[in-house]
Amino acid sequence: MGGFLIRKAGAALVVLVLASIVVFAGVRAIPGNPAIALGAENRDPAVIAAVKAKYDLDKPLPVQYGHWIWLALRGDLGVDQRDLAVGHTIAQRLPISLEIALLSMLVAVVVGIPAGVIAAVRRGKPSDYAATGVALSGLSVPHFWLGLMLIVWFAVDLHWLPAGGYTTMHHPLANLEHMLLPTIAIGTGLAAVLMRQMRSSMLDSLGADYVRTARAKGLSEWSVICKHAFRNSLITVTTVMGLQLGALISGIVTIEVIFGIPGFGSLTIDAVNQRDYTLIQGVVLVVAAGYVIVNLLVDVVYSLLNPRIRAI
Amino acid sequence: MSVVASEAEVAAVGLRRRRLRLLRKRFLRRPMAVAGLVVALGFVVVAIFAPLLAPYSAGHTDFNAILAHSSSKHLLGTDDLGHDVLSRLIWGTRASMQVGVFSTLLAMVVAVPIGMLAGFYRGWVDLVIARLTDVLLAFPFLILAVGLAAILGPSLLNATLALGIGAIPGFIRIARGETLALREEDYVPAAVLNGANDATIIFRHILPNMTNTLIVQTTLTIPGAILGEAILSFLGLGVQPPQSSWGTMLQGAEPYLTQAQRLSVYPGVAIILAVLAFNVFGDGLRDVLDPRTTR
Amino acid sequence: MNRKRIGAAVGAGVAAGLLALMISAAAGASAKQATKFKPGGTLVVAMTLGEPDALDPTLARTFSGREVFLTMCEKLYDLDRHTNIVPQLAAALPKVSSDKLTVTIPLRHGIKFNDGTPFNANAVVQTMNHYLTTKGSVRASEISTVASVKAKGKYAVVFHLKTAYSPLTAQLADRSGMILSLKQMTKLGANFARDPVCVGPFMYKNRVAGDSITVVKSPFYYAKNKVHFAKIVFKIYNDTTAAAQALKAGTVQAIDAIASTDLASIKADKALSVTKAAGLGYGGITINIGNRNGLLKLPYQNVGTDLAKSPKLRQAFEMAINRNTLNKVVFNGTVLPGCTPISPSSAWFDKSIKCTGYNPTQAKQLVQQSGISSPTVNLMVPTGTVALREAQFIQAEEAAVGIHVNVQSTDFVTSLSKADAGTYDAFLIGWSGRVDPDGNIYGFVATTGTLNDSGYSKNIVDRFLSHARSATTTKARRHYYHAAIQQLLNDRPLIYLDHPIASAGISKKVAGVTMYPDTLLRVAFAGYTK
Repeated sequence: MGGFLIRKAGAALVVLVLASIVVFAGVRAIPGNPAIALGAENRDPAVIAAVKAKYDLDKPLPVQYGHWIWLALRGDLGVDQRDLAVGHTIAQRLPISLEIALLSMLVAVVVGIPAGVIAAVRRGKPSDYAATGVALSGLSVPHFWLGLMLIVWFAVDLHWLPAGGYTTMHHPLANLEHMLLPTIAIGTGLAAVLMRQMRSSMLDSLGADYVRTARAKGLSEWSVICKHAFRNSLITVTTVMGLQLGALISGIVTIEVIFGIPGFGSLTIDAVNQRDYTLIQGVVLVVAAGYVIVNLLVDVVYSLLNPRIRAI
Repeated sequence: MSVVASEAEVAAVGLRRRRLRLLRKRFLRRPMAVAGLVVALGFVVVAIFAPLLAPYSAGHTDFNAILAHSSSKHLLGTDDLGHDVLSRLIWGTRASMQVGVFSTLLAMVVAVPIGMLAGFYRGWVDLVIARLTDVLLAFPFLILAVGLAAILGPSLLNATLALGIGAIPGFIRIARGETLALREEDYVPAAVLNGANDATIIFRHILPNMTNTLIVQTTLTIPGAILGEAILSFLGLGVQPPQSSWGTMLQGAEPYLTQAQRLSVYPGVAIILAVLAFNVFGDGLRDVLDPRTTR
Repeated sequence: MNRKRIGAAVGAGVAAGLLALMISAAAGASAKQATKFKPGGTLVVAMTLGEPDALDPTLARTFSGREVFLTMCEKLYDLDRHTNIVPQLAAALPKVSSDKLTVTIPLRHGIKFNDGTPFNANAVVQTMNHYLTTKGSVRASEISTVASVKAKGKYAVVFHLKTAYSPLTAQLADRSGMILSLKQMTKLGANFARDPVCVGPFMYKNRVAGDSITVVKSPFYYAKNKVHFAKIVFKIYNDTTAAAQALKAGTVQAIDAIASTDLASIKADKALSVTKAAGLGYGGITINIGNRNGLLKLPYQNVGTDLAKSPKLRQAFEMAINRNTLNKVVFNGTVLPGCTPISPSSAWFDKSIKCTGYNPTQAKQLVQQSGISSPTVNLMVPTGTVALREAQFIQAEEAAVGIHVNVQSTDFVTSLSKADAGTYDAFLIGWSGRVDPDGNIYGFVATTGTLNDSGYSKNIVDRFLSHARSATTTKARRHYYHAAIQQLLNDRPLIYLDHPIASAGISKKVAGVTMYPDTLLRVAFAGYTK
C-alpha cells in the first residue's frame, strides 16, 4: 500500500509541476498588451511602462516563473488589478463553489443511486425502461439550458425562488433558496451518469456466482440487494466522480455565470475577460492543483475499495 | 503460396459479409438505436444542405420585425436583431455539427496513434505519455477553452481546438487499453516471424481490430462535443455572432428570458435532440458490437 | 341688509378663502420640500458598467470606480446639475494670476479625514506630489502641466504651472482633485487601495473581489446631518438583465445604468422610478486615417484604405446614416442624435454648428465621384448586443449607397489594442465624456493626443486646441472650439453619431438619488423615506 501511495503521489507532483508551467506559459501567450488591458481608458505610454514594471513583465521568463512559484508555495499568489490579494479573493470565493459542488453531488447521489438500483433489480420491466429513458434524457439536456429554463419557470413565472444571486450561510434558509435551482441544474446530469453506472455495476454483481450462493444460503433477496448496493455505490460514486470531475467543474462555472453567483467559477471567467494576469494564473493553478489532488484521493479511495487495482 | 492466400482472403471476405449481416440484424432489433441513427443522420444532412434548406441567409436582418412571433414569413418568429429563427437554427446546425464532428475527428487522429504507441511499447514511453495525458486532464475543458479563447481569440476554430484537445485523453486511454490487450493476440508473434516491422504490426494488425471500439467511442464523444460547443458559444468563447450556432442563439436569447422564452426553447430542444440521438445510437452500437450481449 | 354690508361680507369671505388657500398651499409646499428621511438602513446599488479597479485615486481608471469614490472620497471641486464647477473641499473657485501660471485655491476649515486626522493645505500638497511622482500614477498625465504645489498658510494651496492650462479646474473636479489622508498614505503607501481613507460622507468598510464593495456612514464627516443611510453596498452585476430582475425583486434598490432592453419593463413597474440624464459622452465611428505604425509613432502617414484616402467617401459614409432611425431601431429611442463631440447637456454645447444631414442620394453621387469602385470598409466592433445591432444597421445603410461594410466583432480589450496599434480600418466606439470640452476632443485629434487612434494630424486643429487650453475666458475658449470642431466635421477623423442618455432605476422607497450629466449615480445624501 505504501509503495502504491508513493508512486501515485510522485506522479501527481510531476503533473502539478508540468501543469504550473503550462499555466505560466499560457497566460504569457495571451495577446493584447497586458498593460493596455490594465489601462482601461488611459493608454499613456508612461503609465504602461510603469504597469509593466509593477507586474514583473520586463524580466526574463524563467525569473518570472521562479519568482511566482516561490511565492505561491508560501501562499502568496500576488495582487490583482484591483490591488487586492489573489489568495484572499480565492479563499473568499472558493467555499461558495465547494458548497455548490457538494450539494450537486448530494442531489445526484440521492436521485441516481436508488434509481440505478431499482432499474437493475427490475431489469427489463417498464420501470427499468422508464428510469433508463429518464437518465438518457438527463444526460442529453445541457445543464446551462436547464438552469435557464428553471429560472424562467420557478423564478420568473412562479416567483417561488430567487432568479439568482447568493446569500451567505449566516442566513441558512435564504442560502438554500439560492442554491436549490443551481444544484438541481448541475445535479440532474450527474444523477443520470450515476444511475447508469450503478445499474450496470449492480447487474454485474447481482448475477455473480457468490450472490446465487448467498441466496441459496437462505438470505433474503432484500438483504443481498442492499449489501451489494451499498458496496457498489461506493465504488460507483468514486469512479464516476473521478471521471466526471472535469464536467462538474465546467458545470459549476457555467451555472455560476447564469445565476450570478460570486463563486470561484465566475471568478475564472471574469479574470479572463478582464485580462487580469495575476488572477488568471492564481485561479488556473488552484484548479489544476485541486484536480490533481482530488484525482489522487479518488485513486487512493478506489484502491482501498478494490484491492486488485493496486497492482497497476 | 499465393493460391493459399487468396483462398484465405476469400474466406475472410465471406466471413466479414456474414458478420456484417449479423450486426445489421442485431442493430435493427433495437428500435431506439435505429431512431437515434435516423435523427443523427438527419442533423448531419441539415448541416450539409443548410444553404438549400434555410429560408433566409445567415446574416439577413429585418429591422421592422424584431422579436416577432411566428408568422407565414417567419415560421418560428424572429430574434432581437430581426433574424429569422428557423434559418438561424438551420445555419446553427451546420456550425454545431462542424464543431462536434471535427473536434472529435481531430482528437481521434491525434490521440489514437499516441495511445497505440503507449500501449505497444509500454515502459518509459508509456510513462511519459501517461504523465502528459494527466497534465492535459488537469485542465477541465472549460478552463482550457477559456485559456485558448484568451490566447487565440474566440472563434469556431478555437472552440473546435479546445474541444478536440479535451477529448484527446479519452481516446488515448481507449487506444492504449485496446493495444495492450491486442498485442497479446496470436497473430502478432506470427506477423513478427513473417518479418513485419513495428509500424506494420501497429497499423495493419492492431488498428483494424480496434475499429469497433473506436467507432463507438467516436459516436459517444460527439454528443459531448456538441454540448461543449453550446457551452463555449453561450459564454462567448466559441462561435461569434453574427455567425449562428445553437450556443450563440442561447446567448442572444438570455436577456429576453422574460419577454420571449421561446427564443431559448428552440435551440435548447435542438441540442437535446441531437445529443440524445447520438447517445442512443452510440449506446445501441456498443451493445450490437459487444459479443457479450445476446440479442 | 343693505348692499354695502353684503359687499363687505363677500369681500371678507373671499379674502378669508384666499388666505386659507395661501396658507394651505404654503404648508403643502413646505411639506413637499422637507422629505422625511428614515435614519439608517442599507442601500444596495447594482453596478452594471464594469467593476471598479483599484480603490486608490492614484491608479483608478474606471467609470464605476468614480461612483464609489463619490461616497467616500470628496474632491477639491465638484459639479452641479448644470455641469458648472463648484467648490467641495476648496472654499471658492481658483484665482488665476495674470500670467496664467499661478493658481491659488483656498481650502475649507474644520474638515477631518475619515480616520480623524485634520484636512489642511499640507495634505493637499502631499497628495498632489503623490499623484505627480508615484510610479504608474494615472493622475500624472492629467495634471502634467503642474510644475509644483506649495502650501500658503494652513488653508490655501498654490499651483505653479509650466504652461497655461484652463482645464485644470475640471481635472480637480475629478479623481485628480481627491485628497488622500496623509496618515493612511504613509501607512499603506502603494497598498492604499486595501483600505483607502479620504474625506467623505461614507468610509470604506470592505470589498469582495468581483462581487461587492461596502462603505459605512462616517462619524467624521463635516455635514453628518445630510447623511441618512448607515451602509451602502455596491454590488457588481455582469448581466444587466439579472440586475433589472434584482431591482424588481427588491434585492437591490438602485441600478446605475439600465440597458435599453430592460427599460420598458422597469418603467412599467409601479414600485420603481427612472432617473434620466443626457450624458457628456458620445458614440461614433473612429476612422483610421494616419495610424500606420501605432499610437504616437509620429509622423502619421495616410494608411491608404478606401476611407482614409478619400474625404468624399467619408462624407458619403456619414450621409448614408440616418441618425434618427438609428436612435429608434438600435437604441429604442434612448440616445440623442448628434454630430459633434460635445453633448447638448454640456454647458459647452455649440448650437451654431450645422450637421451633415441624412442624404443617401448625394451619398451615392459622392461614392461615384470618389473614383473608388466597390468601396469596402472593415468595421471593428467590440462585442455586445447593442454594438452589434448598431454595426448591422450601419452595414445596411451603407449597402444602400454602394459601400460594402464588413462587421468584425472583436473582444473589447483586443479592440482597444488594435485601435492603438493601427491595425483596423474603422472602429465603432464611444467615449464616456468629460466636463471640460478638452477632455472630449484633445486626446483624440491632437497630433500628440494620447488617444488619437485615428492618426489624425492637422496643424491648424492643434493650434486651435492649444489656444483653447491656455485661454482663460469662456468666450475665447468657445471661439477656438467652434473653429476646431468645424474643421473636424470637414475632415471626419471621427464621425459622431449620438449622445447616450443614461437611465438609472431606483426603488420608490428611496429618495434623494440624483444623476448629473456626468451620468454618475449620486447616492451619498439619499435615504429611505418615512
